[in-house]
Parts: sequence; C-alpha cells; structure tokens
Amino acid sequence: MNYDVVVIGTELDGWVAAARLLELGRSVCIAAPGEGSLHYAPGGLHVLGHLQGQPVTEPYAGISALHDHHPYRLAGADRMHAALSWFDNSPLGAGFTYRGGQRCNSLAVTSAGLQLPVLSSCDHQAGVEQVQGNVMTVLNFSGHRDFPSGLLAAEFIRNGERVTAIAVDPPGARTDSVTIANAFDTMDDPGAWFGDLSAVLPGDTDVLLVPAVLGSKRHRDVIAAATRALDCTVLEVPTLPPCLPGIRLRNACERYIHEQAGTLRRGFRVAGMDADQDRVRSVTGSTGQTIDVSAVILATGGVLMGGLEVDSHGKITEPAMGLDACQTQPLSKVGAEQAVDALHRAGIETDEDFRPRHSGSRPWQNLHVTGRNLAHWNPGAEISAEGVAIVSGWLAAEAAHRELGS
Amino acid sequence: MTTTHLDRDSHEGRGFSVPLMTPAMVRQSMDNCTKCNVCQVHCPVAGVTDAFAGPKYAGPQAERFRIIDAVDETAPMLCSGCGICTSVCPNDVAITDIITLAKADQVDRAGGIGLGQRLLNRPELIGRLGSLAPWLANGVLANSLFRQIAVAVTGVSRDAPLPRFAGQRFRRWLKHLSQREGPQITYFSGCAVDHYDPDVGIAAVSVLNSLGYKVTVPPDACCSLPMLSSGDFETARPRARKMIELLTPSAGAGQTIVGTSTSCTLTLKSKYAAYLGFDDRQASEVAHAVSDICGYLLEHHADTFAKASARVPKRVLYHGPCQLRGHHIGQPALELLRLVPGITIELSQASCCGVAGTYGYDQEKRPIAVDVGRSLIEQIADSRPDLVICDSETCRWNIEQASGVPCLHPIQVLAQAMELTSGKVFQD
Ligand code: SF4
Ligand code: SF4
Repeated sequence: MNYDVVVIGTELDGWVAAARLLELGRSVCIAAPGEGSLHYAPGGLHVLGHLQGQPVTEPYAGISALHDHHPYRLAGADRMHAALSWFDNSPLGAGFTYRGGQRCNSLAVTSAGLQLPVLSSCDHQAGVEQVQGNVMTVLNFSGHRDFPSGLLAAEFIRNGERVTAIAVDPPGARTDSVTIANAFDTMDDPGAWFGDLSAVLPGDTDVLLVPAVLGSKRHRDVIAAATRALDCTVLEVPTLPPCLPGIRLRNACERYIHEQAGTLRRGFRVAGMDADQDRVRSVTGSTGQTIDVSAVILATGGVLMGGLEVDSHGKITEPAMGLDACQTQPLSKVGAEQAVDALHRAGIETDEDFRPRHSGSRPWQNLHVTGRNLAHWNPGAEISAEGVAIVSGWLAAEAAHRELGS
Repeated sequence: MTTTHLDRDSHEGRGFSVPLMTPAMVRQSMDNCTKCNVCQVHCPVAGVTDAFAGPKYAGPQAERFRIIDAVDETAPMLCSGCGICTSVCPNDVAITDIITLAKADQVDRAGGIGLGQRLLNRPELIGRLGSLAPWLANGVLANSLFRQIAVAVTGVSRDAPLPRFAGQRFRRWLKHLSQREGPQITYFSGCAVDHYDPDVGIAAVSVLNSLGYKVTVPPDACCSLPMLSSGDFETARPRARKMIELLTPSAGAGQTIVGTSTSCTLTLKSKYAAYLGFDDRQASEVAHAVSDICGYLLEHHADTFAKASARVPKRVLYHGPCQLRGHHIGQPALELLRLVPGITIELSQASCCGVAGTYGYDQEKRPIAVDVGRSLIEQIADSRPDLVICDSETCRWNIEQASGVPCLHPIQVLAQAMELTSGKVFQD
C-alpha cells in the first residue's frame, strides 16, 4: 500500500497538513510514535502574542520584526492569513471566535492570572474583556492541583476586580483534570449538579470561572446546562497540563481525519528513509515496516516531542530523516534562559515551501518540515505555537499537493 | 538509491530486523518517561474507576520503587493490558509491559493465580473439552444454575460473554480442502478459530487460496497469551517455547505467518520476548515472520481488493481492537474495507470495548469492563449498523452479546467481497 503523503507526527501542524491534503483529494497516512503536544495546549489560537517581551496587538503587522527565516516570514502575511482562515472555517476550528476582530489579538484569562494575547479562542473560554468589571466567582475542585484558583483570584483582585474563590468536591473521587472531565461527560444530569452548586455560589455572581474540565466530549452541553442552572455566565479557564481544550482539539482533528478516510498509524517512529537523489521514496519505522510515499511532511514536534534530539554536548540533530539542524548559538556556552531560547530557535531551515535543503542550495523535492521542527522561532517567547503550526502545516500541504500534480 | 540511517536486512528486500525488546529493556524504558500524563489521559480503565491509579503511576512511576521492593500495591492487577497507554506515549515507554511484568512478580509472590483465571488461561483446553460434545457443553454453559456455581467456584463472571463451542469444524473443513500449488503461507488459527469461530478460519484460508497461496495450518495449540497477561509466566514458559518450535519450520522456510487474532499474533511478535525474554535466533525468526492478516493483505494485495471486489451493500461499524495498536500498523482492516464497493463504514469512537482479552471475564473486573465498553455499546445502539466488524475474538463475543448486533472479523467481509462461498457467513 502506498500513500500520496505520509505525515509523520501528531502535532497540530501534522493534523492540519493531513486534513488539508485529504480535502484536496490526496491519500494520507499519519504515522506517529505516540500522541503529540496538543495534550498540553491551553486552547486558543496563539499567533503572535509578544515581540521582545512586549504584547502584540496586530500579529500580521508584527511579522516584519521577526527573523528573516522565521516561519511567518517564509509564509508572508497573505499566505499566513489564508492558512489561518482555512483553520477558522474547517471543522478543526469549530467554535473558535475572534474576540478582537479577524486581525487583532484579544487577551485570554489563564489559570495563573496572566493575560495571554490570542487571535481567536473557543467561545466558552474566558477572555479578559468579557469578565472585567463583572462580579466574578472562581470555582475550583477541592484537591485539583492543576488549577491555581487562588493565584487567579489574587491577580484579579490586584487589578481591582471583585472576585470570590470557592472550592467544592469534584464529581467522582479523583481530582485530576481528565477524570473530572470524564465524570462530567458521563453524569446523568449536569444541570442538577450545577443546581446543587447554586447553594454555595455567591448570589451576586455575574460570571463563574471554572477550570476547563467540564467534559471532553459534551462540554458544550455541560456549559449550557450550568448557565441555565446558575443563571450567570459560565466560562472556562484552561488548567495546567494536561489541558482539556488542547485534548478536545486533538480529538476533533482525529475525528476529522477519520471522516475524510485518512489513515492513522500509531506507534510508528521513523527509523530511516529511502531516497532517490532529492526525492524520498519510502519511510521505514522502527518496527521494520516500510511505507511507500510520494511526499513526506515531517511534523515530529521539535525538541519538546523528540522530533529533534539534543546530545550531552548540546548538539542538536534530526533523528528521523537525518536532516541538518541549524543552531544559532551553542547551548553549552550560554546561561539557562538563553539556552532555552537557543533550544527553541534551533531547528531545520527551509525554503518558502517548507522544504529543507538537500545539497548545496537545492531543496528536497518532496519533503516538508513543519511546526516546532523549524528554526528561528520561539513558541514560548512569541506566544505563537498554534499559529506557526497551522501556517506551516497548511502551506506544506499546499506545496505537497502542487508538487504531486494531477 | 541512497539509504539513510538504516542497516537493512535482506528480508524480502524491504524493512529490517528489529531487535526484540526483552524484560530488561522493558523495565529500562521507564527512564524515558517525562511525566507528561498523556497515557493517563487515554487509559480506559483509569477513566472509569478510581481504584486504578493509571498507567503513569502503575507503570514507570511505581517501577522505580519496585526495583527496591518498596511498593506493596494491588494497582497493577486492575490494568486490563489493553496496550493503549503504550501506543499513545510520545516517549516509547513500554508502559503496558512494565505493568504486566509487575503483575507477574505479584503472582509469583502470591504463589500463583486463582482457579478462575487458570481456567480462562486455558482456552485450548476448555475448547477441546467443549469440542468433544459441543451440544452438551453449550447446554451446560447456557444453564444459569451451572453458571452460578461456576461463578462461586472460579470467579469467572456470570455475565461474561462466553462463546459457543463449535467443535472441530475448522479442522474438519481443512481436512477436506484441496489446495493448488502456489507460494506458501502459514495461517496461525489460534484457539478462537479452532474451537469457537471456525468461520473466521474458513474465510481466512479461502481468501488466501483465492489470492494464489497454498496455506499451511500448524496443529492446534495455544499461544499462552491469557497466562502471560494475567502474570502466570511460569506455566506459559514451556508452552511458548513449544509454540515457537511449532512455527519454526514455517519461519525457517521464509514463509509469512499470518493470523486472524490480533492478540495471538501480537504475543508471537513481541510478548514472548518482552515477558519471557525469548530473544534467541529461533524466537526472533518466528517473531519477524508473524503478521496480522489484514496488515499483510493491505501491504501485498491492496490492488486485488481495489479491483476485484463485489458489492457488499452493508452498513457496518468498525471497531479496531485495542490490541491491534501494539502491531504499529494502524487499522489495516479499515483500509481494506474502504476498498469494498457498496459498504458504508462508521468508525467506533471508543478505544476499547472493555473486555481486553480475558479481563472482562473476571467477576471482580467485569463491572469495570462494562463501564469501559459502555460508550461503544451506546454508539452501536444509536446507529444500529447491520454488522459490527472487529479483528479480535473476545471483543466480538463481548460486543455481540452486549449490543445484539452480529459481529464479524474483517476477513469474513473480505471473503464476501471476493465472492468466496465457503467463507460466506451472511446474506445480502
Ligand atoms: S494497558 Fe490499558 S488498562 Fe493498562 S494501564 Fe495501559 S491503558 Fe490502562
Ligand atoms: S505518556 Fe509516556 S512519558 Fe508521558 S507520563 Fe505516560 S509513560 Fe510517561
């Protein structure tokens, strides 16, 4: 069996690339060693939140200040916009809304009380503007350590807001995000559960902020039931990882890939490839299976997810395809903070179609690299993880499709 | 041609031999754990019961203390061995195998396993007894008084989906089969086909025949997986060795050994090494020769199915069994079924039907298994497909009993699509 395209990795860039290629009528196999970093994603589409430590209002306008080889500079504002609009209109982006308009960031509430610039986010996720000036109650589940509700409330109070924090027992006996979400997914009558909650809810509450654990499947129904039962606005705030908003997005991706008859091979770690000059012909997994391909998209998640490896001397390598990794700074020669930045910015350099160099200036013809594997960007400092994933994944898919011809 | 990164072996000119993972390597994989909790998110058992701490805790985390004998726990026994955690771990931690090794240590310390599990661990023995007089055995199993007594004595759940004995129908059919010469392939039928599900074996051999293969079927024997996954390694050891010897002629002759039971084939491929430490040449040869039948057909004969399939106008729901994940081949049956014209396929949204081998047969674990499988059974009840399709036998029996919808192995549908009457098990 061969596929038009093998996407390696279940990072957001991989899901996006696969979804786009399937829509374009290509056969696609996603091969991944395990699950990707969407399990840690707080939800929301972070495109460009900070530049040199300062908040960014208009991400598209901000890209000119980025490194020449930053993924957004490779894409350019127009292609970036095309990719993000596709996401917005696809089933993957279902329920995402632009609070600041299509081109401007708004601020999302995080569990630590920080305000995170985000281009769009789920309509039930708390935004700063939405909650400001309202009487707020922050709910926590007793024993749930991944939601520092005290920190969140203190931060609001510091900003002059009226906030009360309350804690109640979670449904079910366990106190981790996933188990609580399961309990909400399977309880008979969530409305009744929130009805009971109204006994301890301060009567003047306008907005109830809850940790984003109200289910992984039917959270929308649960939130609607809570709103009815409590007669106030109910908004979710993402917890520390594992994060339900990211997991929900991952589930939506997987569902869509299956609906579009894509193939998913878990447990496939690439051990090598066969190439004919500058074209990849097949990839082989660590368990010995070989998949024939016409094109490959390498979405293996950079250093964070093992897509890039760091040895004890701080040298970075790309283990799957043996690509050259670009390192702007040696990791061993800088302090801890710079080391993290250098680690993020290390990666694979590509051309505008996200094809890495093969030899000399010639790129690989049918190999594309996306997301955290790419060099010259830092998702943490820029607050740009989802944006770069979607833009590079979508454009790599477009390039692969063009290259495959009709 | 340039090849990067690989030391290839001559195995059909493709792929390469991978060293098998032994118990030492399994245990060592705990060091890869970054505590990312992804496995916790996906464990179906931890999702329904608070009594099980989940894969990260029962696996790599507890393992650190096990090596200094500092944990006294019941946790690993509640793991169903479904393998889902291992398949989602981004860092190659062999979580399921770590937990199974811990179970075995516990079993060892407790001086063996209970009578019920011991019975469940001998599907071939029960099968042979039942095969002597299937009508009598089926009558006894259907008798609720007998089952109540059996529950009390053995701990096997009264509601467990026990299959019906089919006698030796597959073997009898095989005896009268005349095959043409052709490339040789070995079919490992397993206890399920030999005693309960002969139609699956008949369909498998018929499909292989029609693709031009001459099929060898080794004598009826059990791969010992139920013993391995319940931690009874010592009883399993000599049987596993015998099994390897039984399959060595085929593997040695370079034949592929295909199987219709995803869990048996997984055992032959990797669990003998992971649990019993069998990584010698003979065992490796067998391990590398084994393939899931649908994986093999997809890789080598997808074109035939794409061209030569007859219409199968059915609405089916496909449930890829949890144990298929351990093969790292995705869901090849689904890809093959998609080539069959006329078929409408809905996908199971559940990662596990709950029964996970013999887990759902145990009286104590049965309620957990039912909870794990609930969403699948509800999905079936909602969409009312004509058929449910699943590669694993105990899952099929469980799904069929719980949903009332007939449940078939994908090879039976493929036989139908190839218009092979001997494998035909449902009417248009
Ligand atoms: S094997 Fe299955 S039941 Fe056991 S810990 Fe892993 S996911 Fe959970
Ligand atoms: S998924 Fe793997 S790395 Fe993550 S916590 Fe579980 S065992 Fe550890």
